[in-house]
Amino acid sequence: MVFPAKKLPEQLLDSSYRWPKPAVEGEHMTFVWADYYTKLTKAFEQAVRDTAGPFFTTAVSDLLTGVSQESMVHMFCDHIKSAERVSGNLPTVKTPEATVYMLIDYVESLGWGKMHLQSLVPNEEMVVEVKSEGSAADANTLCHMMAGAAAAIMDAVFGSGKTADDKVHSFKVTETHCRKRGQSACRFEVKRNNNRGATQCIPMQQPKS
Amino acid sequence: MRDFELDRELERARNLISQSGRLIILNTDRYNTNLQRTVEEASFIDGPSILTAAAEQVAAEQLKQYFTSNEDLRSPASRLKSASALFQTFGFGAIDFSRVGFNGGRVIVKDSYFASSWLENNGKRNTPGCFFTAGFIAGAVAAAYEKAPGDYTARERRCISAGARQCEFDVEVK
Repeated sequence: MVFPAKKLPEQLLDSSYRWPKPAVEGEHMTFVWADYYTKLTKAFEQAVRDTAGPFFTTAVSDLLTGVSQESMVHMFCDHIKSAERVSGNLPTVKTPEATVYMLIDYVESLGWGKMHLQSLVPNEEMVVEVKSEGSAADANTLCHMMAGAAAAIMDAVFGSGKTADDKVHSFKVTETHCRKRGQSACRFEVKRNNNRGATQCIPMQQPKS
Repeated sequence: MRDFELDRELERARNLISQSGRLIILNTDRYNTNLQRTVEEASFIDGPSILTAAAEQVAAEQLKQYFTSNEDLRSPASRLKSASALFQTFGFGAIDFSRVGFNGGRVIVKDSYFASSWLENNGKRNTPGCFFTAGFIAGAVAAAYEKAPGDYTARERRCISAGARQCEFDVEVK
């Protein structure tokens, strides 16, 4: 089943849409309270910090961003394939730049707030901002998700290889500004990952005393 | 007694979706199971408790607000039926609270999203793994009986992701 991104929330808001749900391009979508992710990620970060020390705070943040990036790149690759199948040579997938716009539109359709493209250098880097007041990012929830999604967009469009598994982590993301720190927007800078492999799957094992 | 009211809103200008005034977001099975695996596999913390507690607190808060703002949801049975409908419309599966009361009981979940997603993305588990659902159940029962989050526990005794036909939870007063 293929849902145009613009129509995705409307389709899923339909009261007849209940479990077991049709997969959206192979992914089973669910609604979740934004507060759940906030509480979960905060508790996880706190538990790791209390047990392993503040040094691991950045590692946890990278880990959670990686969870989003690895998950989203699969969804984006599936969405690109669907769009190519449905649209053929329509502008949405005709150029890589247009595909980036299409995927930003797709992220926005998930109810995550507005993602504003600030700059795009094809195959090299992208900068996006999320600044909608009242957005999920505002609720301290989605920085990891948004960061991962931004990186996954570049992975899916410009990543090395053919499959989603090949492409993931072709790019890395840094959140340079954050609303949680009182800044006007969360700003994510995505650049090609020249150290691919080193940032993946940080092992969360018992630290040695 | 009425069924759950789907009062969900989409604010297109900001692309935000709310349910009974609370922000909700869409996510994929792959993300949710990967997030669970990440938290669970951090071996030096109690990941399952973190996963369960987050769901329990949020479910209890949101459902308490929903129950108190809907005057015709006075009885625990009607409240739990409403919680079941919400669980289903969110896409988590079919949940049966009919065998649970003030002193606890058993809850059955068929077609569990979390269990099915785990199987699809990570394969069969050795132990039950529906931590979100356990938290949702404990929070929903607490909200239905006007108790605080943490007053009930829900322990999963059988899980589809571990090979069972359906997921079963024992609910107890803590």
